[in-house]
Amino acid sequence: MLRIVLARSSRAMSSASPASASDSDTSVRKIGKALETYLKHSQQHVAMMEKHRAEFETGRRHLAKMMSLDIHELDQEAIDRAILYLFPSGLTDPNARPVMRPPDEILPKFQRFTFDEEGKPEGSRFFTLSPKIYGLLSDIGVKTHSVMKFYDEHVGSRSVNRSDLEPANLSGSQWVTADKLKKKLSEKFSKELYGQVIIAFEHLASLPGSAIEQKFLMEFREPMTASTGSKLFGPAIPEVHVCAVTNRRYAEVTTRCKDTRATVKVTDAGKGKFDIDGLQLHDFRHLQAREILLAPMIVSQSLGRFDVTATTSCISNTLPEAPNKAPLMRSGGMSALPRAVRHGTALCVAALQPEAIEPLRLSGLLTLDPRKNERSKVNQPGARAKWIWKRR
Amino acid sequence: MTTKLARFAQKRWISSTTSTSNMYDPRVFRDPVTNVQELRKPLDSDDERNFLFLKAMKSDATPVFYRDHVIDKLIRVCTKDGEKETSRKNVLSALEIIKRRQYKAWAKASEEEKKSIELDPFLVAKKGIKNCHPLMKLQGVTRGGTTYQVPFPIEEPEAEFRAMKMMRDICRVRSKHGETHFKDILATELLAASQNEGSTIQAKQELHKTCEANRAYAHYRA
Repeated sequence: MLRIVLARSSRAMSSASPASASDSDTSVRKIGKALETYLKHSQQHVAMMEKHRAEFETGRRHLAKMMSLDIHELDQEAIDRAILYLFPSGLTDPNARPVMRPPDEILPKFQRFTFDEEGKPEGSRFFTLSPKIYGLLSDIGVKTHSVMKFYDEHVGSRSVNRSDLEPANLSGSQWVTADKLKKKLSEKFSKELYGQVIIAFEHLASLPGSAIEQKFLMEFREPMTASTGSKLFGPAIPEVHVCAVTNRRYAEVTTRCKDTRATVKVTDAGKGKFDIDGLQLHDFRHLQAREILLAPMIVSQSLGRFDVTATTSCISNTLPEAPNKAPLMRSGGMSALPRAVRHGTALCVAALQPEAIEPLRLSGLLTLDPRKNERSKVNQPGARAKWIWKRR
Repeated sequence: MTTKLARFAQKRWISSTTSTSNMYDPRVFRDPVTNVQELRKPLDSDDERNFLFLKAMKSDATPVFYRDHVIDKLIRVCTKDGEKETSRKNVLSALEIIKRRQYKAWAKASEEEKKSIELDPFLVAKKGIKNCHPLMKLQGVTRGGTTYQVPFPIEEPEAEFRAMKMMRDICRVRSKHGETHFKDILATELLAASQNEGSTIQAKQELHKTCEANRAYAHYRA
């Protein structure tokens, strides 16, 4: 590669030398400047890599002598173990520990470009700072246009498959992270540029007809099972304990809904009793409230099996500015208390009856409700309400 | 990553009004399953609900055995000033009145007449609302400064809503005149509508008559 580049450079120089005009000299000097800089950097990089490889081999020989090992037995794994033995480190960050690896793995890679006959770099992305990521964005743009064209030509036609006119199916996968994309492209870029790439990918994947680019999209997706954390939004399923006195299993959890916090304790081998701040189920006179409280039992098919004990409190009364106000009896609306107790009950039922976790999760009973009162805005009567418009 | 993207998308030159105004991020939340039979079936391995969150169940979506979509919608349409519990009481009382009347008629009827009497008030109510579905609707179209009432075809959910709205308005007007309570009038209207009689059926026929009279304006449909 280097020899070919040198040959091209010499040919360009030799072809330009017969002309003695100043314009030709200026043009040759400009072209040669970029090529000259690249060649200089390339030579420096090659020399540095040679020096570091020689140092690594010397170090390997010294290490073999220190550890009384044969030089041929000392592979990378043995080197790692020897370094761990010679330089024990209590640092918790793996990247901060001493390491001895070939320079090709540690030192930054050198970007290699090709030049044409006139000595100009091939491709206009040479002059950007990040040619690979801009190339990827360009590829996404080209494929987006081709997908649009494909769909416009074949919509309503019978000559193509029905499934080819569908959007791409991305279920069970998610986009690669910024670090993995940097490693894949061997290039650094900012978070904003990564966000742009993801937005472009999402737009391409959402188009009808993007199923024909499924393979291209899946190159930058990874399965979600490997990296998905908890599937529950909000508090986790609590632990199961056994009461020493009554020898019954129970679970306890604290959760909230709007302005109501509820601490719920569900006991197994019960009769379906409710004790919510001293109130039983029939004390809730609204049919909807009783429905809400019984929802976890209905979904898990365990009516009459668990006893529920709950205590509720108002979150606003526990805030730092609360002593300056009159304490509220309860806020958060009429159904906030039953819904907070329902969430806690569902989590405890999931703990005591693990086979009911999936139905409870799919019905949304294990999800903390993140909704809350929207803040009132200045210059309008409420969060979104406006005054009646008058012409004048 | 989603939080980073959301924060990134909140810059001035990218609009993200819809997603930031919803506490349920549409990228990571899906609708919950409210059908009990569907809950028992296992999900496909590539279903995205295996990997995403599900929204919390709504207050009025508990899968009790008497849950019915049409009755729930009727309760919502009859709600006034946010008093859903009152509306629920009225509608369920109306269904109870229908049940009592049908049972009384069933007890008095002969053997062959018993088969034609429907005892389930949910079915009676659904049939009544179905009979009140209008086929067309009138929409104002302004041409040259004059507003015409142009007949338009109507879709099923809107037809259902308009049927319920007509029935609700008729029942409210009559209960305001002090005849009887809302629940009694609603029960009477539902029973009559299930037999293609009553004020709501007349209102529907009046609407169809007006649409027929305004047929000449049909070419104003955009």
